[in-house]
Amino acid sequence: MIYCPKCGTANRQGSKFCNECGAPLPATGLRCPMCGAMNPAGNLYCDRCSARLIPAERVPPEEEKPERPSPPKGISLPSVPLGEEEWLSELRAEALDLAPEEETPGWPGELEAPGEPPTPETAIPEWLAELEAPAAPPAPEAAIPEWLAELEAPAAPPTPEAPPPEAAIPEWLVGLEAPAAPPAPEAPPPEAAIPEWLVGLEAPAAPPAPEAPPPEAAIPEWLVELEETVPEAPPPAEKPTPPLAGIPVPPSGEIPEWLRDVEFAPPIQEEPSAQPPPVAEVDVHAGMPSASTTVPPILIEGEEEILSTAPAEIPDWLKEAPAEAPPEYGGLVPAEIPEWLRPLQPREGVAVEEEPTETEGFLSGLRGLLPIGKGLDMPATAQPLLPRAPRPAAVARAELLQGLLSRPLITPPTAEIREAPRQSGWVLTRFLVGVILLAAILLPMLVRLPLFGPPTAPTAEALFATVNQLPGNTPVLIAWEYGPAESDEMDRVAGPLIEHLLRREARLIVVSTRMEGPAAAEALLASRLVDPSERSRRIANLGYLPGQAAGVREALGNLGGRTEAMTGLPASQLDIMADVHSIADVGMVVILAAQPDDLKTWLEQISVANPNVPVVAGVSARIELISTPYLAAGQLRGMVAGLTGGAVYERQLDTGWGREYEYYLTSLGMAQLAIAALTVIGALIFLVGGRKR
Amino acid sequence: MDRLVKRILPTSIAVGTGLLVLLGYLLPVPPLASVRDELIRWAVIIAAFAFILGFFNLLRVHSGRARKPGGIYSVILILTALTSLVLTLAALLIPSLRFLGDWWFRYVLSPLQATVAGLIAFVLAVAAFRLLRHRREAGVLVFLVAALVVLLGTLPLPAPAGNWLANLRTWWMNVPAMAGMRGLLIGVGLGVLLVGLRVLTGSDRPYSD
Repeated sequence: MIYCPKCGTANRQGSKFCNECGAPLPATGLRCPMCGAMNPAGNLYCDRCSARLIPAERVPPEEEKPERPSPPKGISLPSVPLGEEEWLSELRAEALDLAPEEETPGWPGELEAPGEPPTPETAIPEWLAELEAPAAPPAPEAAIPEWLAELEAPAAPPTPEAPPPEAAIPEWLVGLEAPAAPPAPEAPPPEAAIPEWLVGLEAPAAPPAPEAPPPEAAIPEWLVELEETVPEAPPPAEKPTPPLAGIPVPPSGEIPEWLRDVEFAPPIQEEPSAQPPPVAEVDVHAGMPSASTTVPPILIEGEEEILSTAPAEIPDWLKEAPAEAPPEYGGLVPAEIPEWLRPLQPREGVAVEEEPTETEGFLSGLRGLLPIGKGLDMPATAQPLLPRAPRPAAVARAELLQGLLSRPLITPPTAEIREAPRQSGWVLTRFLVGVILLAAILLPMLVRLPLFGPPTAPTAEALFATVNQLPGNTPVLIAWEYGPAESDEMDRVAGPLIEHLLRREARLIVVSTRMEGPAAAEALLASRLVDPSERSRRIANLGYLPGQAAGVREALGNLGGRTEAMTGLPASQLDIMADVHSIADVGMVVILAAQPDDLKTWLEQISVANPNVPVVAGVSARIELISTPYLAAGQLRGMVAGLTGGAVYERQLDTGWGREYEYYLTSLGMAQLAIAALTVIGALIFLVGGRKR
Repeated sequence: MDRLVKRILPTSIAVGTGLLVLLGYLLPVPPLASVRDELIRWAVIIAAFAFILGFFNLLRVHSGRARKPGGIYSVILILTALTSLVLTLAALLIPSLRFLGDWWFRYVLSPLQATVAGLIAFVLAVAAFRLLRHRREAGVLVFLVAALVVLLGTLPLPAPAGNWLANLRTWWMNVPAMAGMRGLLIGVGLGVLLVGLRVLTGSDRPYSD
């Protein structure tokens, strides 16, 4: 699992982005050295390109000779980890169980001990079956490559005089074909001309045969695993054993290098049942089978002549070039490397160029897919460009770019705006505006200014008429939706209305969705209530309603289940709440709102709970405009808006607060005039003086 | 499991609750209405607890800020919040200490909030003065004229200028401003409807953001 560094969510292994928040996840696992794809930590091969992820570290078995060179790491031979491939173990197991006289069809069987089952296809993987194909059918020897036929274990006595016809040899193996080999072991072939890079591959001297020590052949390691250790048999002492019985020994220099280590097994000393054949070990790290010290010999001719192999070795063309002299081989002449193998031969002193990596397309990341041939990477018609004069448009663009780059940096406009308040003009402007506003507000306190006439507010007059028709002792629900910040204005709006309701002997039930609402209500109610002892009979402050719209909806349906905020008594125990349980029992709803959302919330919930109850509102001047549509639609029966509306209501009610309202109205009017004058003056200044940036 | 807890479960609860409440309003039969009212009651309780959580989260955030430069304001905020909490709880639990809560509200909270609100007038006056300093577009000029008409039309100026301005203001408020406001309200209503449908269908998950 990959845990997101941002939100901590556990994501599937290999994920690139978080499943929860989309943040990129850190790459974990193994990155393919070939294509760069990320693989889970347990992968041995890349899921994308099948390249090996973990370099093969070959752990030499205990029996392995220390001087033996190890195969290169990371080789991609057909190898598998131990325990994952069954075909190899089955192959070995079957080989152990087979009778030695049975013949194995196909060339793997030829290299193995006799007794390979006749149906090797079931135990040989596909890649081996492909290799096997040319020699697999039990055709005459002519269908088998000669160099493989030499290794084949014929059932008949050796007939070195009758080599297979050349016509059956594949073309690509013609070069490997060995001419007639000297059958006599007494005539050892001349010293083979083995290249230097193959010298190191030469296996150590095998146990020599009694009379003719067989040459060694460097069998690929993966082939050694297929070999079977055959129990040693009593050597036929009286029978001369040629180096390769039945195989025409080619002259010197005609045998492939990688076959030179194939040697003849020593004469069998024991019965097959006397000593169980050891099983070749599997090198897990190398991913390929490695030979044990007791590599099973290969039976060439019946049960008498056994071709034993030297300690298994990887193919020569995959090994580093050793620098030892080629040894002599008993009956084989070292062959020259075929022409088609020469390009693969490593060369000393030549730096290996890294294969090009694909950078585009779906093969991006892979190396060596499309080797760049000489001349292919250059257009056929490429010609050296002649210097010519650039086009004028290009020159102009270059000059413009140079000019832009050489200019000093321009301060962003936003920075100028932020810097502007620090200028003295800005400070002076704010100071003058503040002084003018303060003078406009305070001047009516000092001097009575008969500038304004009586205010007019038709909606307030309509509301006064509505409340005036309210029957006595009517429960009125008041939504107190303003706090101390708006109380200077809203108290002048709500004051006359509350006093009017109290005069009408209405029972006031106060609720609020704002935390400070109940306290603000209590302050105004205390100032408007003439006899404080009547509070419990006239007012019930049910306090704060959490939950916004849900709280309003819940309260409208369960007014009797609430608690009085000041006394802590259940509303059902209050006298004024005796017959009030829900909105259906209320004669009128008054919404005192300074914010548009509060007014809208209450109107929506009341229209659902009880659309027949009359609703009036006292709102601040700033939401007068948004409240007007509700008034026009009939959802509001009346409205007092702002200080002007409150003054009109106060004048109609004649509560004795007229002087205070006059002062507030004059101050408000003076401030409005000052702001209007400042707006006009500012517009003229900046229209005439120009716009500044 | 994580996806189940963070996404599937909240969405299922929200959609199921919303559909039940909606059905309770559309079909106000006793079982559905009762379930609807109960779910609304639960919402109120959860909202109250959310408010408490918000209060303590505010204290936690400003406790971290108090140690940084300029943290004196966070210290003042924490002290003020705790004082308000203690005094309000005392006023509710001990009736004889109710005057402390009233005093705190009347002489501390109310003046402070009124002062901050009063600064709006000053800021608006300065903004009106500098209205054409940076922008001289037609919309700005229209806004300027409308602001002047409303400001002056609200004033009980003596006739005949006062009557003319009052009539102009009334026309302005009842025709163009009313048209714009109704369009705005219709848009808000449609938006609320759309948001509700998206929440009901699980397209919007504000509760899991």
